[in-house]
Amino acid sequence: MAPMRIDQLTPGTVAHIVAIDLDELGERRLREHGLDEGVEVELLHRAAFGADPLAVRVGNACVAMRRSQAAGVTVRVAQRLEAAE
Amino acid sequence: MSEVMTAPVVALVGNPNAGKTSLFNALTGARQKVANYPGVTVERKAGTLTLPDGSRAELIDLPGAHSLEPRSPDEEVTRDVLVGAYAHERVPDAIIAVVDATNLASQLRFVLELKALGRPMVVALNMMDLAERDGFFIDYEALARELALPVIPTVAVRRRGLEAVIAAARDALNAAEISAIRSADAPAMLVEAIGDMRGHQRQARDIAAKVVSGGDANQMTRQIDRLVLHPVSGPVLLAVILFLMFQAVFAWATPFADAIEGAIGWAQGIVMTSLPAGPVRGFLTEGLLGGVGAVIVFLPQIVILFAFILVLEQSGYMTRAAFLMDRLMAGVGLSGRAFIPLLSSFACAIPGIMATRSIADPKDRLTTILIAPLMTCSARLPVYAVIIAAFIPDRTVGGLANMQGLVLFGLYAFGVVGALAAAWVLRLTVTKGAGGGFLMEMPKYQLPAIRDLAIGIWQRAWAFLRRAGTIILVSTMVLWVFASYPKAPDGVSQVDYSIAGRIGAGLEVVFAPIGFNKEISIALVPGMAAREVAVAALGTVYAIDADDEELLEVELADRLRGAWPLPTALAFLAWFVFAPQCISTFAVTRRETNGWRWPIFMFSYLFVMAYLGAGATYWISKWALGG
Ligand SMILES: Nc1nc2c(ncn2[C@@H]2O[C@H](COP(=O)(O)OP(=O)(O)OP(=O)(O)O)[C@@H](O)[C@H]2O)c(=O)[nH]1
Ligand SMILES: [Mg+2]
Repeated sequence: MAPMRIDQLTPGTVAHIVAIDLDELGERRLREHGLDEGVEVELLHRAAFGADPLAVRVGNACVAMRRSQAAGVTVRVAQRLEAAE
Repeated sequence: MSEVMTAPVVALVGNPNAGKTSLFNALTGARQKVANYPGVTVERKAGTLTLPDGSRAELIDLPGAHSLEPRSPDEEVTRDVLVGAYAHERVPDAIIAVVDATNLASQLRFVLELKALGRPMVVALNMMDLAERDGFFIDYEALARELALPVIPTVAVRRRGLEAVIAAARDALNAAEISAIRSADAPAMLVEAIGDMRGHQRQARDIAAKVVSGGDANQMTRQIDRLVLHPVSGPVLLAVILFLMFQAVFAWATPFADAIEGAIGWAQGIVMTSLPAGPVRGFLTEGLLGGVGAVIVFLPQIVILFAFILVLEQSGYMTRAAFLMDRLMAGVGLSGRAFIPLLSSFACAIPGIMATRSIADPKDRLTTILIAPLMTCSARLPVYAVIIAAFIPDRTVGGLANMQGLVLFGLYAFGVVGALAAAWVLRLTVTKGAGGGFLMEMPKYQLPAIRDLAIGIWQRAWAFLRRAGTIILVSTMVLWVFASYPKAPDGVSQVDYSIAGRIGAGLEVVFAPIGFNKEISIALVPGMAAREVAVAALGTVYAIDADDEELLEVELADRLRGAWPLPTALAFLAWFVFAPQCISTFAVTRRETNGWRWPIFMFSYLFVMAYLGAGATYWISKWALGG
């Protein structure tokens, strides 16, 4: 299955981060909030109007982020990753 | 050297919301603010830590940070203190790194960064109770080995692990004495520490994988969030909570307020019967009881408002509200992050303005500071309440809502809409620029700790009473003197004849076009010191012109009803929604923006908004009422 971005996940689907592509500062800020290659993420909620921001489970924490930030994070849905390994 | 004599310094450092302040309070007996959202502490705070041998160390609580590379002014404080760049502060001799045990894989990264500073360090593995509840098993001995640092499990809110932390801190300080590291090395160490973020991330996750087993992200929080963050039920719930808050402020406070009012009337009666007429009796009944008493009556409402805000802050709901509001805030060029300082500005704009330090983007922050005074602070409550009680009927509308509560809610909403409109205009003009993003961790829900809640309410109630006893009392006293002298000849109104009356007559020229009378003009001036003083001032001014019998029997609200036409009352309310006040707000704005430019700008734009808002209200309602 092709990689997706966090903002494209269906709520409840568990995935793993494969890459973070944002400007340097944006990337560092995401990393400071626990995002990193290999970390488990799950889209929990989209806000009401315009589906922005998003609530994302990052490991054991819940992080609110804008869609534009989430769109910089490429993920692979969990089972596929395990199967590939 | 004098350095030998000074106590060693230990700093609490860690991610936001890890429990640093809880630990600080437990270790030093301080009562700093603790709440369940990131960014509560925004200043450096110091306390005394007593070591096992009886000697003392200075313990420093710092704002939460994600790394030593600051993203916001509060994180800058933490970085500066740690590298010795903070004015008049010594570099800490040892560090206590506070970590949330339920999120080790992420938070250990910052611990590794701090460790690279080379300072003696202890790790407090906090929130162990939550880790246990969620089924995490943490092998702390293994963790200590991996980090090569002492690791102490703690539960700050239940005072678990405190002795062990103190003992470890003492050992670290002993090590600090013999260690060769000098503060001069700090900047170089800093560059090294923040350089390798990815490396630290990998290492942190490797360590966490080795020492943590079992466990599951908090299920209860997930369940609650299904309702609270849901696109439909979420916003509805937020609206209901805010609405309930204002209804409660009116409905629940009434019996208590009545009791206080009764007590004041009773005291006035005693003074009247036991003292001869003269300046002393006049001051006691008109100035002290009539003026300050008119403010104290609002204590119950203020306590209820604060209780609501504290519960929201401590439960973890605040960040959810920020999430729900982000979209709306983005529409005016801000982010959900700004919602937290703005909501605390409902209590008082000063902590609200301080709290903007946790906003990363400088223009977002400046805009938030500038609009914070538009959020209805609790000092405005007495003003609103008096006018509402006088002019709005106490009726039930639609079967459940109280009409007075509804109007109060409307005034708060009016302030919020005004704030959003102001932000929108500011973002297009003076604070133009691209908006910052929105990135915020949402903590687990917690039941509010009764102790923290009680302390919070008590501190606020006490601060309010102290204000009543100091600034409000003094301003009222001064006003009473100005309004009572020189003594008017018979048949002339005392207030008109007095100094205050003459000043008021001068100001009336400015304020008459928006429907304000002389008494209001007089009350606005001392209102600058503290908004409640406007009520105390009206109480005093009208009490002076009342005869004794009236003074005892007629409450301020009733007196106003007789003296003001409705459009004037509405204009007065509108004025207070926007009014540029109080002096302390401008002082803190000056400090937080480093100069006079922004406070002066703030005053001017608020004055214009208040004047136009009150004027429009006056003329429109006059026209609508057929006047
Ligand atoms: N269950 C539990 N809750 C804790 C513990 N320590 C702190 N808390 C709670 O965690 C929340 C955050 O605590 P604070 O002490 O304000 O955290 P902080 O690290 O000072 O936060 P910032 O100042 O925002 O960086 C509050 O709701 C505390 O009651 C703990 O050991 N167990
Ligand atoms: Mg704190």
